Amino acid sequence: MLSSLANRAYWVARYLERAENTARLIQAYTNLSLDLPSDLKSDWANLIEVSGTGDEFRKLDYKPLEKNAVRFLCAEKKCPGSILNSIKSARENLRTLREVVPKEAFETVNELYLFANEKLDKAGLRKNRFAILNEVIERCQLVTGLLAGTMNQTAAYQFIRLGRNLERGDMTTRILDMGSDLLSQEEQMGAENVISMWVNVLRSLSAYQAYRLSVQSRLTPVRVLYFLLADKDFPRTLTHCLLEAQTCAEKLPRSEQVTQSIQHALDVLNSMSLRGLVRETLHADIDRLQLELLKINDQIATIWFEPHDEQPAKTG
Amino acid sequence: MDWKEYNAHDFYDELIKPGGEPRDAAAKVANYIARLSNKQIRSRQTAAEKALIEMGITFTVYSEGENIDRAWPMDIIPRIIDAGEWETVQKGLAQRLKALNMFIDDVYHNQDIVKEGIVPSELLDSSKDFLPQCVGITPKHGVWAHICGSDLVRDGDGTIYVLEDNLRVPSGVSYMIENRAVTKRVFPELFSNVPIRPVDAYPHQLFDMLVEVSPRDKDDPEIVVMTPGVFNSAYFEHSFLAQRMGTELVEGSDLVVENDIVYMRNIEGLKRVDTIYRRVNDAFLDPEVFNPESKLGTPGLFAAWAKGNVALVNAPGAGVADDKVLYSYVPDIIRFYLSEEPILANVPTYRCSDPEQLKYVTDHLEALVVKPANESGGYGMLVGPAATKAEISAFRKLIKENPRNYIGQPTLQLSTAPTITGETIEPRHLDLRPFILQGKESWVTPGGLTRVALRKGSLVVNSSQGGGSKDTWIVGER
Repeated sequence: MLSSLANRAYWVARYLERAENTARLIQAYTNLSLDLPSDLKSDWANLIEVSGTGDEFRKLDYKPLEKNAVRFLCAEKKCPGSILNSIKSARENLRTLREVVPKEAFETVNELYLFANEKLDKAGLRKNRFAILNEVIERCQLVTGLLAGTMNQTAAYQFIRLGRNLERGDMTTRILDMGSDLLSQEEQMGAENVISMWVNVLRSLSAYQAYRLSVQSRLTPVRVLYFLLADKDFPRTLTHCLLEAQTCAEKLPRSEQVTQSIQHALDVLNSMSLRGLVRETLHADIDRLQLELLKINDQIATIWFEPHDEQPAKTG
Repeated sequence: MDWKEYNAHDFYDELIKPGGEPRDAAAKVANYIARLSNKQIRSRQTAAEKALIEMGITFTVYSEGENIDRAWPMDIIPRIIDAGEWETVQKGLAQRLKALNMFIDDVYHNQDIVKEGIVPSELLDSSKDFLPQCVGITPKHGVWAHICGSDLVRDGDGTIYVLEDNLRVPSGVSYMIENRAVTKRVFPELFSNVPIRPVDAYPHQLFDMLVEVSPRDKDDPEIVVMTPGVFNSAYFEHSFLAQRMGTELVEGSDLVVENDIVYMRNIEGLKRVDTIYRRVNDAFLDPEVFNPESKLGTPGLFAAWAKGNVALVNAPGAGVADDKVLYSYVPDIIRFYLSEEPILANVPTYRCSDPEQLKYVTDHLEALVVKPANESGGYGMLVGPAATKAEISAFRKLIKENPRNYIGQPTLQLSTAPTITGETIEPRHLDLRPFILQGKESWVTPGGLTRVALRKGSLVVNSSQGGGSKDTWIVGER
């Protein structure tokens, strides 16, 4: 398989997953802000930071109001990680993969783009937001399902899975990072709000039900954190994403260094679990895990994509 | 549809004789269509258009800063040619390409044809497509232009002429194959009754030829199709051919040259490439040798080819024989290299580089078609009878400023074929682009891509300028 093709397959999946996860993140944050008492208003600048696009946001000189922040993350052309740009990039990369992906996949992503282009600009307003973002999430899942159900499980598919799982793991760490920030405000919040907050964190990853089934005891921040990092069975936990990535990499040629770096990340995660997660070191721990993910990404690019290690079809 | 009401006037119609009788090869199809009502014909055309969209058969138009994939325009009534007549055309095309390849090889070696005084040396010296870097190089089998798309037209008296030979990166062959797939869906009944020569052998013939020209003698050399990228108007075709041949579709950045060997970058590592069917123009092929700004090519590609380590199809520099002035010498070129008479006719051509012929052309612009030497796609030409006075005098000035760059030809009475228009069936002008392959041996497509000018009276058949297409049937036993 051509390196450039592998690179584009990997990024198609990352962009699509990013679009879906950004939509989830906004949904959860919106829900949270509805639950919090007015004196504890959620900080929308924080949402921007979690998504990793703070620099672009400040450049545009927007006020960190809810409407601005959400519109920016949904539809801002100058925000490289906006949902609209992610979908657009996925589409442009998929266009040149038409020889290897099922025909319907391109059509579905194309329709998703047309929908996103028309509607996302209106998601700044709360009354439109839920329906629009839900449809984005559903349509992204449609593509994932379509590929899983109809695509040849050759190298191209492994790169798609690899991209999806690394992006997913990355977003899980971002959401946990947001949670660790909120932990510091726990005292001001009151027990009820704390529970509500962590329920929302779980919901943003569609993990609430899975958490309940898996953890049969009282909901506490540390247990939620532990679940989202270390549970092996739920598809959006960091451990699960890394294990999935590991099985993809093993099916690809020359994968030793990549599998080693994935194993290294799993080891780091394990040692943290053994030691136990505590509020004081949580932020640093999550930083460390994000760094591990970055290393895996770089390793993948070096082994399989070079010199195509730049993100292709960047828009915005 | 009553063919008695169909009137091609003074033009030669490919299917229907004056008076409404179908030609022999077209009889079954014409009788079949005669039994259909206009409404039924219309609904078959609609079905074909749907099929084209479903099958994703598109061509790309660049407009308003965005690339748009348009459905390929195709008229369902096939253009029909008698197999006996085609036999001759096929021989003529193979003869022509063989001679042109000998010419190109001569141009980059001894230039015997110039020494013998048959082709003037100024013509080569002033040719934009003569590449001095190619002098002394001998590609395998002495073949430079492995793939040629020649444009054929039929004049009012029924004679078939070669209008031009496209030796650089001719396109359209994928549409020839897809048009057939669509007619099979729309007129399945006809295929069981009429002996129609199949066209889908092309990708296999192409693949075999690409294997033949591989520098390494092996059964499974690594063959790739090289495209300028997804924004090229012929990207559909590049992707189509790569898929049909089961080869990789690469861009310049997928290839790397080390020690004059070409490799492609795979996830497994570097893999040596033997033959590159490149759809990138000479100028963009290798920034080290040609346009240094080019991002579409691969540095070092030319040197690898010159050393004989990779085959480029077509070879760089083959365009020297794809020049509208040189065209006028092709009959002499055939006589010189093959000692044969040309089987296919050339359109009489006035060379503006000759003062007397220049005078004739500038005096008779109203009646002539004038073409620049190095353009394709119907750009930059003057169709005298259809031009305004202002256009003609502007063109006269252009020609006088740069006579070497222009040729004049009489306006041909392009033949017509029945074509579905809004409500009924009317004659529309057309041409034909067969594709000729040459490796060790030659091979000619049975038929080719028929392009039709959809506008009434128009002679412009290019799809970039509102032309459509037809399936082409070679009918009768070989």
